[in-house]
Amino acid sequence: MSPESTFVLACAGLAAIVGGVAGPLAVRLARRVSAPAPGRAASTRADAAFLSALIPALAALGVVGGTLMPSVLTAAGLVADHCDDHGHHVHVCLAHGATTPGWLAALGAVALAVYATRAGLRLADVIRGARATRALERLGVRETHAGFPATRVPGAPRLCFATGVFRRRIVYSAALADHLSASELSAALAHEAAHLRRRDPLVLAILSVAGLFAWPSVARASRALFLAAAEEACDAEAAVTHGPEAVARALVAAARLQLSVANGLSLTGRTLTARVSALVTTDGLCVAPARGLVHAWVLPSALGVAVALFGAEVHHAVETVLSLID
Amino acid sequence: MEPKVVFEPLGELEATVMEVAWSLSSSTAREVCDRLTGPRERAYTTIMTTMDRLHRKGLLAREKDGQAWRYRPTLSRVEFERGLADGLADEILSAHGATGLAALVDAAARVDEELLDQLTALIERHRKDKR
Repeated sequence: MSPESTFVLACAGLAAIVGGVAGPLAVRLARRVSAPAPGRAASTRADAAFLSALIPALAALGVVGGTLMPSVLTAAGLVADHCDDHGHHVHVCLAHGATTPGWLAALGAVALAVYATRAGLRLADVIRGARATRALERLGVRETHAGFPATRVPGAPRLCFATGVFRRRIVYSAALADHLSASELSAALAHEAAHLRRRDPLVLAILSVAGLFAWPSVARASRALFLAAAEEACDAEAAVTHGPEAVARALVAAARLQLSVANGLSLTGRTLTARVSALVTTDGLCVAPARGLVHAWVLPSALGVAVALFGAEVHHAVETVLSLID
Repeated sequence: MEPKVVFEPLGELEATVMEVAWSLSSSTAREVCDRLTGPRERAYTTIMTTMDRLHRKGLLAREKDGQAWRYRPTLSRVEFERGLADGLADEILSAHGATGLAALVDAAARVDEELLDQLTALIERHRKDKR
């Protein structure tokens, strides 16, 4: 196997190890920072959950980036080849990749296969969902709600969602419109508009990519924690303009409609209970702007600077740890 | 036995043929072909093939009328669009299962009637307390 191939496999193996270890820690952190607390806006909690969910991907990419840095700089002729200095331990190097431990290369091969499969399946789901959404919108009537395009589609009782990373819009079903009172429907659409203002579809797309670096269960838990807080944030925003009761009534009415088409399957309605309780029992709902995406730009930038500054140290630390394991 | 209805988005020509079929309520391929003039004009055999495909999708029922088939829509346009929308909605929800969807109420979560009654009572209590 060529040194380059072994090096790529070693990097994939490293990403799998770091992402796998960082994932559960990130979920624990996300649980803590996204938990309701007096005076802490749901929007802030959603931001914190989002940033926590990025940790496995950023950690994996940071470590791989740092490990890669000396090799890349050497290949570019910017620094001298330092490989003679570490014959004493494992060597992760673009030029001498063959010295990478076999188990790491094997783990990397498995990780690459898993990454590719999960990414492919996710992409297929995104394409399938986008195609179905476009087809559904073609059946509907175009409207505008809270400054965003909305489409009222026939049938489909369960639908009311915000979508579009670039072309932000709302899709909701005529059945929902028939089932909800005017004030409830207006509150429901204000909730969806809040998702679009917060750019939650983009956040979910980013989480979807970042989730590839963590265990599937970890990615699911992180996403659920973000969504739970984001839903409350949108409820609070809609409550400012439409009143908490109208939003709470809209949630219950939408859930009731869903129940009527789902054959009454039972499952905990913990999230719904929490959302309705937060709306009607909290004195003065706390609303804050979403800043998660802004911070999400800062984090990778800071990581890039750190990798550039401390790449050599990360590289040697990784090699030392691998030597100890090997 | 008539084929089971397949609710999936129609192609451009299929949609055009169904438009005519809905407007005529009962038609042969020749009658549909005669209705399609100008930019919508198509060869008779193309229309015949399309109507046969729509029959296999369960959208057109047919019976012999001399040498030709006479077709009639099995569903009204509203019924078809509602069924199609429901199918597409299911597809959207299942496709977004892995990626999440910013939806009003989590479609995967199920709640029971009792809980909804409790929540309605909670909202009502809050409304009365505020007065």
